[in-house]
Amino acid sequence: MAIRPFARRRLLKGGLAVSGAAALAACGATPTPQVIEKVVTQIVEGTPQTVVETVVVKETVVVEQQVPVEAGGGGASVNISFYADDLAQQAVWDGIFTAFMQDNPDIKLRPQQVLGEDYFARLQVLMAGGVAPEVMEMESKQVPGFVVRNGMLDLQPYVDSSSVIKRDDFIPYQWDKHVHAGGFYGLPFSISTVVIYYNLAVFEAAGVNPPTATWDDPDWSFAGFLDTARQLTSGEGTSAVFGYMQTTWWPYMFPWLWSNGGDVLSEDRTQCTLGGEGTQGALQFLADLINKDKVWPTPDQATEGMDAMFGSDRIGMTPRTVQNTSIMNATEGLRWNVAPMPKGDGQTALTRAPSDCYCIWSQAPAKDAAWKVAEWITGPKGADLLLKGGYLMPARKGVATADSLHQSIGESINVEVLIDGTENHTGRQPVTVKWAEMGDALGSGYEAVLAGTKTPAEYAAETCAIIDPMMASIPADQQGWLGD
Amino acid sequence: MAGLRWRRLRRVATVTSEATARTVTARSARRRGLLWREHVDAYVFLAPWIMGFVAWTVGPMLASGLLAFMDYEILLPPVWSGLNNLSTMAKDPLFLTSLGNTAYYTFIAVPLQVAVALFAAILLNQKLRGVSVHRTAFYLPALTPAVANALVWLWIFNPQFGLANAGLRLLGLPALKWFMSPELAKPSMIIMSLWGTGGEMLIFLAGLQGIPELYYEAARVDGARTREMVRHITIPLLSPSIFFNTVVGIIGSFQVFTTAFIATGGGPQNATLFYVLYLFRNGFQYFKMGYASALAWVLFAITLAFTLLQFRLGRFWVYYEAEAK
Repeated sequence: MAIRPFARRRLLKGGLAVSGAAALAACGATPTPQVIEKVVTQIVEGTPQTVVETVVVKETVVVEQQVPVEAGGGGASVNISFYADDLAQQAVWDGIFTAFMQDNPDIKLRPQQVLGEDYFARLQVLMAGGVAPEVMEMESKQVPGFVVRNGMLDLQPYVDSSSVIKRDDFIPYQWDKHVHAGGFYGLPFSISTVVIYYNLAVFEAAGVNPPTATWDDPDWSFAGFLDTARQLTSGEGTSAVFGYMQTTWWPYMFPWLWSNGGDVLSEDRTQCTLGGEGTQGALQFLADLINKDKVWPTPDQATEGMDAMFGSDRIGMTPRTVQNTSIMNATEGLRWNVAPMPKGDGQTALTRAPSDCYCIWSQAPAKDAAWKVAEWITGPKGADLLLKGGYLMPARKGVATADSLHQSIGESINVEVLIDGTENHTGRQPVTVKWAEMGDALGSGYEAVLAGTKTPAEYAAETCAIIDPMMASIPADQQGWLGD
Repeated sequence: MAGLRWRRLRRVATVTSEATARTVTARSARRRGLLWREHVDAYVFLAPWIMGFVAWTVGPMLASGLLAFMDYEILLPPVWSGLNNLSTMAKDPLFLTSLGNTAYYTFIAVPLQVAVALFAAILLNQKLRGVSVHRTAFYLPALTPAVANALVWLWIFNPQFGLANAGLRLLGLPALKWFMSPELAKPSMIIMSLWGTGGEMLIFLAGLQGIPELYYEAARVDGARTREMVRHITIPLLSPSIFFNTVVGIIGSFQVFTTAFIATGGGPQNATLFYVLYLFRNGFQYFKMGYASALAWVLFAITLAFTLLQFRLGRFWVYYEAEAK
């Protein structure tokens, strides 16, 4: 019998035939082969879990796929994004979502943890693609950029009819920063008040008394702060101890600028004010801490990272937020406490207290359910769970009390510094719809000032030349945000 | 009689030529049919790729070409703005900064990459025991993901605990700030880029192995030394590979992004703010997708100009054996 050679054409024909058959089988309504599905479903106390679904086809083909299983019954399903930097923070959110679904069995929550720094870039693309989470955690300072581009839902009608959410229940400016042109766009839920965290072991080793716990202490001035930092600084090389260190991220210059009577923008956010006397003085003070007084390590002296150096008794003072307390409490042997920011030539010491909020996507398919989620999380129950989580300060009034903060972050901590700072010593970051762009313009020159390669005056001249036209390009109807 | 024979012969010839013509016509028709079916088969199999290319490459390219003349904030419909994006570019100091950083990187990194890859290929073309292990080792970094590479080099260039400064200290030299210094950040990126020249090396190696041994034998008979053989045989016959690596290297270097995005974020003080990183910021962080599209097309024009220039210059130094020069 003649054997036919295996020609390419036969291979092509065979391939096409098989592909065609497969396509027909997939599209057609033919009852055979019969598919028998065996779905392993598991609902555990409202906690979203992942189990394996096994699909058996004619008892010969087994396909395995990951299937997320949410708690709760039928009804609306809501995607929600949230930040969590570590497993402990993630556990706090898991608890909040679980509690919500127990209270609201008709709503399925699909949590989406925010990973990476390009969250807001991703959010834009998801919104443009029509697949953004309905409820999203946002930094309040990022909200205006999305509001003026119709990305966020006006929550005012929902607030008006809510029995749980009222402006009076929140710290007023934390609420008002989300108001624009009669609309309300973000439910505040956490505040990140910046105060000085100090390492008790470093103070004890240097024989220096810990700093004050009072915001209005006249001795806690720029000069007093520098004197303390100098006394704490000692040693060389990898065992050197530094009195102070802060991140070189530009928003951390605000407490120093404000406490010295300066700012980066004018009150109406139309003019760059980096050249002002208070701003120039504060910038020079910060640059001197590194380059002249040498109480703040240069970046190449601090490559271990600020948290590691603080945790290993090599940094005496550092400005941080409550979010860092979980790391500090988890660091074995670390004894720490908090103090206010020092006062310069300004009327009073001021700090930054940016907030996070929950917003609802303007195109959310289930807006009412999304509101229910945001309302619950920022309401009394959510705020209480958030505080017990021990790494965020709720924006609701009366939740972050001295007693509750002592319980959540530590009995010996000067929590009054946090409370008084949040309520009475907070400046407003000059938020505009061009926050990210302004930040990049401010950031690189600020690094140069800290490195001592630019004077504050040069920095002001170069940066204001960029920022002034940037601010001028913002239409009048997009201005007028309170600030974060 | 003679007339009858002639008529018969003519008739036979006519019949034969008609039969031949019919056969030829039938054959060519069948061939055309086969060719047509081959074309159809080819396009059927190419169709998935072509559809993907049109949908995901050509489509977005055309769209971005249009968006370059619009204000497009992603969440709002685009608005025609004519040449506004180009005039903004002309006044934008960071456009020039990023272009300058990218040019610096490209014109230093690419020649170094080609030289290092060529040198490595010549070494790895020797007949030594275990040479394939060495080839694999040299090529492996090219397979490492860019993010992992960036993290490894962040550690190598760590001013306090990094391998680079440990080496300098061993030699009695002062430690450097590497990525943390505005002056050294770009050179550090360039050194880092040499780590991934395995791909170029592989192309050079293939080129080297394609040079007939005969040429070297003839040169040795004529008393040529190694240096002369490299200069007069290896380099000319390898010039197509050098040309290819240079063209592809320049195109790739103009698009440098990941290492700066991961390792430095464009800093310190915008020292590593490369063009595509600035484009990304405009498009995805500043809500300026129209401006980012214009930036992309300007980059395309620059890259195209350099590529055409190289092809023009290549006529003078690239030698193809098949061509009569």
